[in-house]
Amino acid sequence: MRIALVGQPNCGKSALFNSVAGYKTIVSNFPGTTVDFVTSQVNLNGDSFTLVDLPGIYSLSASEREELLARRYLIDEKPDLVINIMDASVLSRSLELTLELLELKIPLVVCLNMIDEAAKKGVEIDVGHLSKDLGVPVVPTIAVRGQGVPELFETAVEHAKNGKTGNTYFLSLDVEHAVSELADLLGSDLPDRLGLPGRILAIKLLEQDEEFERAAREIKPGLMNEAARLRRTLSECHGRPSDVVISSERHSLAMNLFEHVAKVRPRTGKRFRDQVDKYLMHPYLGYVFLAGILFLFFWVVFSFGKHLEEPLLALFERFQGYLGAHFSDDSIVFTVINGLIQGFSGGIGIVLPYLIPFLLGLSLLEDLGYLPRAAFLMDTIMHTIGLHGKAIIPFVLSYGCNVPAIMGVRIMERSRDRFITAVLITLIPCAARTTIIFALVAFYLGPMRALMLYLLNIVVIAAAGKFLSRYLPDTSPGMVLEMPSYKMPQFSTVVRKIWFRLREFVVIAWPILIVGSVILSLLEYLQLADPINGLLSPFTSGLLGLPPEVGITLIFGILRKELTIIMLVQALGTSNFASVMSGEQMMVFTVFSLFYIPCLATLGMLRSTIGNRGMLFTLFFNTAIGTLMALAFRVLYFFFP
Amino acid sequence: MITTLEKLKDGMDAVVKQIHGGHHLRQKLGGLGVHPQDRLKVLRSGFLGGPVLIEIHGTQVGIGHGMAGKIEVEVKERP
Repeated sequence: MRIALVGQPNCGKSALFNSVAGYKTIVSNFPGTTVDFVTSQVNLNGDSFTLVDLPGIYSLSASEREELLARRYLIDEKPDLVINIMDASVLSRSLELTLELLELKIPLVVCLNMIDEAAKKGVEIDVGHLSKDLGVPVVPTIAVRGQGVPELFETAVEHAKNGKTGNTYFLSLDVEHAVSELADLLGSDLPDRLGLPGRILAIKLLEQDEEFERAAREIKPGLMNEAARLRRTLSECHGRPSDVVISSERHSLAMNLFEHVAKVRPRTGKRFRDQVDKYLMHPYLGYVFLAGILFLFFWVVFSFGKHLEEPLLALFERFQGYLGAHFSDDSIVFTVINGLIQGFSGGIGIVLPYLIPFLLGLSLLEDLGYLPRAAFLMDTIMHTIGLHGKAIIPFVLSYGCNVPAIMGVRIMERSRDRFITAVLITLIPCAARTTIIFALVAFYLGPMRALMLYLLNIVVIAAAGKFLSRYLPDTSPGMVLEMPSYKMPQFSTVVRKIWFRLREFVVIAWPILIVGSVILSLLEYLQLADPINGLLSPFTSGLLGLPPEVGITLIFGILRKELTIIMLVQALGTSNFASVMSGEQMMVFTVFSLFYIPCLATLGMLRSTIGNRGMLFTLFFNTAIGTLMALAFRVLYFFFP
Repeated sequence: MITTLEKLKDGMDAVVKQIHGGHHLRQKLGGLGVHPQDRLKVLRSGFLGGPVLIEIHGTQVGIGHGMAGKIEVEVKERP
């Protein structure tokens, strides 16, 4: 038996899923998607079923990717039952989704969650009445406290067995005419092949649903003219587009239902969220708080990380020293083991100290409800480079380390936003690249030049953002974002989120780091530094005018950016760079290092977030930017030495 | 008085008259409970090209400045 959880965002779906996760035996990501689609095997009083956690959706339209995914699951996979979770405190809006779900004719149970919040808001709901009106069981719950959850699942299992579907709602007469005329024309063949009842298909076609229209056109192209005709009639009669006609009908049905089953007492006293939002959402002060929160976040994550990373790496170095004493330095076994340890410790050095605190902080901000507020405040500014306000959080964090920041792009809903944000993040100088800027530019050429590099970097990122959004235009109509009320983060939800995101790093990014470092150790073992420098010299010395010895340092920089400076000392045979490199060379080298190929851990993370092609694109895109910027500096130095 | 949402001041009440944007915008707003004939209250106005924060059906929704400009509203006096 499969039971799917469907509900609007912030309805407490995760809390509900977690409250039964105690029974779970398997948790796995849903195959074929990148959304955290989770299934869990639940055993309850001798009945076992698979619980599927679908992404939060506002409606069954196809305007958002999540909606499409959830809808496809419901239609193609046909769960035995749907539990429709709703936030009882926003009942009237939630009912619009319920009305759509009823049309799917899948057995349904309504979970009236956060019934305590509703009571606090002065909303009193007659559960029996609602159940009678909808024709499905309704169970009130407080999922965060596990209250009502056993009853909910008992009811669900029971109801799935008898397989009864709920009531159908009728729209006003002329709309109903159009729907039934189209449903008749569709017959039973087309709906059967698409796997959904004819009535909802007719409604969706009248709402001009792109996905269904495409699917229906492939099977019966002639019918679409009929659908278009009926749409025209509807919009002429009502003086507005047919989709508005139907959604308004559903809206007023939901409002009527709400008035029928709920009593609302006027609210007394000031709400907590209003008190807090007075400061956090203030037109000026809001930005002060935002900057403060981001700075605190950054500072906590990286001071914590630094304190842990150093002793951890020291531990691995001691281990390496121990191995060195037992194997001869020049044996191939030692080289391979050495590479393995370096890759492994690189992973540990990133995961434990930075990733975990970052993910913890991010989950807390997310679950508290601050993220949408930050996105709201930053929306206008981020839109100038074609991005969403939410991107500010991974951006700020990537000045510390790009790896967790790329993982943070998951908070964005659309793949286009995730792609652009991830690519732009790799251009931001992380702590390791900051050491290059400091060691070469700030130290030898002065802090003003270093500051100038940071400003230039921001300009380049903005330009790259503009460039990318030109080829991937923002098709969303802009920001429409619900501001949820503040909630206390739940321990189990936070842990689950961290674990899911962490697993991605361990499974996908870490292996790349390990293999990469073994390959580099072998390069060193086989003494390929000179041939590599020779191979790269047309680029390094020919095009960029750098000493040919730096070739190998750039290769090592791909492993870990910190290695660039260390290898530079080795390659040039001195730590006094000014004695072997001119100011121009130092500047050009730094600028190129700032932008070119991201480190292996970042590449691995890119691969798991935006796919192989996205990773390869970033590789070329960044190298191109690095080359262009380095050349620009050469030209600049030529004219203003 | 009929105007667009982004021009309203803090604390103003209004009724949605029409949504001028395309299909996607209407669907998105509809999902969040913003439909023609609905009453809303402006919590934070979209001054300086910023987004607008409204309260509607007991929930708060942030709407980008450009989008708010496509929502035609009628200002209502508070009873």
